Amino acid sequence: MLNIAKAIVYREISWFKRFLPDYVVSWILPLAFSLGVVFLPATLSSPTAVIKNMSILFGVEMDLKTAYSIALILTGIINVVAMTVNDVMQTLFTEFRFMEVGSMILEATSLVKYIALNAILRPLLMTPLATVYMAPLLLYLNGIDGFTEFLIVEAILVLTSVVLGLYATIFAIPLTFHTSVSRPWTIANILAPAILAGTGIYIPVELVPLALRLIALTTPVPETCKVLYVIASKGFSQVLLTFGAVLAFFTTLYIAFSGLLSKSAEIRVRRG
Amino acid sequence: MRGIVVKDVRKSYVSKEGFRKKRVVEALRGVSFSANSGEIHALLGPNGAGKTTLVKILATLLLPDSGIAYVEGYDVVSQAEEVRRIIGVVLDVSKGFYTSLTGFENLVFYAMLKGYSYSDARKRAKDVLELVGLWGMEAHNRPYYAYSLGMRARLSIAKALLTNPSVLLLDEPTLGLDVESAKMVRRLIGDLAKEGRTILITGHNMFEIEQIATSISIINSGRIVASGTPRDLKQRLGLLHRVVIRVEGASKEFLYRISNSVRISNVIVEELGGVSKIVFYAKAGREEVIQSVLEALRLVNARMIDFVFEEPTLEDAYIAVVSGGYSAEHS
Repeated sequence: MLNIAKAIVYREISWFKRFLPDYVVSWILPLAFSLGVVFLPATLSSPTAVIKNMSILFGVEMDLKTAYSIALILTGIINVVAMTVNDVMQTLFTEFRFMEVGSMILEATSLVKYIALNAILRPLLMTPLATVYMAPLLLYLNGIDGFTEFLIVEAILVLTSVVLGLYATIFAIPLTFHTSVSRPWTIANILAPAILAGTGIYIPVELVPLALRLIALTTPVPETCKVLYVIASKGFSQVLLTFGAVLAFFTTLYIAFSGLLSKSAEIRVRRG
Repeated sequence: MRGIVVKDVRKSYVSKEGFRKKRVVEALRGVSFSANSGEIHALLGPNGAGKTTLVKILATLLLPDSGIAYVEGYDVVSQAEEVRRIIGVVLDVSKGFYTSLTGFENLVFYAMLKGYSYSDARKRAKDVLELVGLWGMEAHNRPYYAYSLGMRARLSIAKALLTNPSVLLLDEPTLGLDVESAKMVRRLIGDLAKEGRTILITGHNMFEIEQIATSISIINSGRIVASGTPRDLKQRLGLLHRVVIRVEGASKEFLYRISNSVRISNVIVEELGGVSKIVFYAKAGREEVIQSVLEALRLVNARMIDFVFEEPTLEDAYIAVVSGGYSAEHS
């Protein structure tokens, strides 16, 4: 297992070096989005009115810095959900259906081990790389407390992305090995926004259709958002314990599911 | 039980045709053959004959429906891990690598998957890239998508050699290569066999196979229809030799005399300015034909200008086997 993990880490680092410009774009866009969350509605009213509304929404008195910190952290979860779901699904599909590196992998190891490690390690490595833009901004806004906040947020995002990685393989394995679908991104492009919308990130969750809320509830993202809001507005809280329990539940569930599916995929691939 | 041993291996696929219709395709229908250690065994056959399926089974990438196959004494089904440790595989030289990684990075990744440490993987990748001539071309630093087909084939061979395997399974390793690259690959394969490695190679280039293979199996419609050394195969098939002679004068008499001593067929005679070009086919060997030609020349007092005796090629044998209904029972 360790050698497969090392190989995947090596490949990810090589990819990161090659795709650094893509990451730069993924750092710039959320910054614009987070500024938009606070300042775009302010063009229709005033910054004070926006901050007042946000204070009511989150149930805590806040200033402009806190409001912007919440908006910034919000972009982190958007980034992580979109990136993890898309990346895990598309990478597995591309590896086996387009580049056909399947034989290189199967010559060296079992599909079960490879898929499980890939689903865990890729989000583990990519999440910090994709959300590192938050660190200097939070440090600037809140000083050393802001950096501590970043570390806690990062840990939560990394754990969430690992569960999402396993979750995404549940869709990726049937798509890659059991169907003749040729455009997996259509599924990923629906799934990621559905999870985010169902969590209530774009509009208040009470206004979100039940179907989307149900999709979101199959992931830890709603719980992650709750935790992130609390941390951004109030600091450390008991809500972290609930989050931990939810995360543990989903991790166990999806590791089991993903393992069963990849085992069936391995049998199918080796039987031809 | 060294080398490769395949006994009565069968493999069927279910091929989907349309939305619901399925068709069972019998890729292998009881294939048996063996390749000794240190031998270059060629597996020949038309497209769809089952060559790649057999290579994939030996590479543990596919499970056979029935039958057994051993690589260096290890069962490819129950001892797949051991088999993977001692084989190097080339399958479809045009793909099989990460397109955005360089050739070097692809090899390091593969070596690490195989259990090499980072530094050993880098060293080994450099060694094999040098061996196939990609290091010198600075190609190791280019992304795989920028590789030409020849470079991709070399990289596939480098990957197969990465773990220093004792058995190489090469599925059409020179497909699409330019003359120079193909020659380099042939020389490399020959050198590897001299080091004692067992090599199973498939291909369609008969000239190439005849040059490097020490034994051959011809597979057709999922069955081995002939096997042996290239020379055995040609002899067993009773293929005719092509003889071309140019003589001055008395061609008819000359031919009559030859046909008295050796059996000839498909005779073509072309007359041009007193010189006759005679082409015929004979089953007899070189010495026997030469002797009768010389005897005939002496008797009719003709003068020979040119004499060519062509051995049947592997291509002739292959065509005779594949299109002529020759079956394994004959061999």
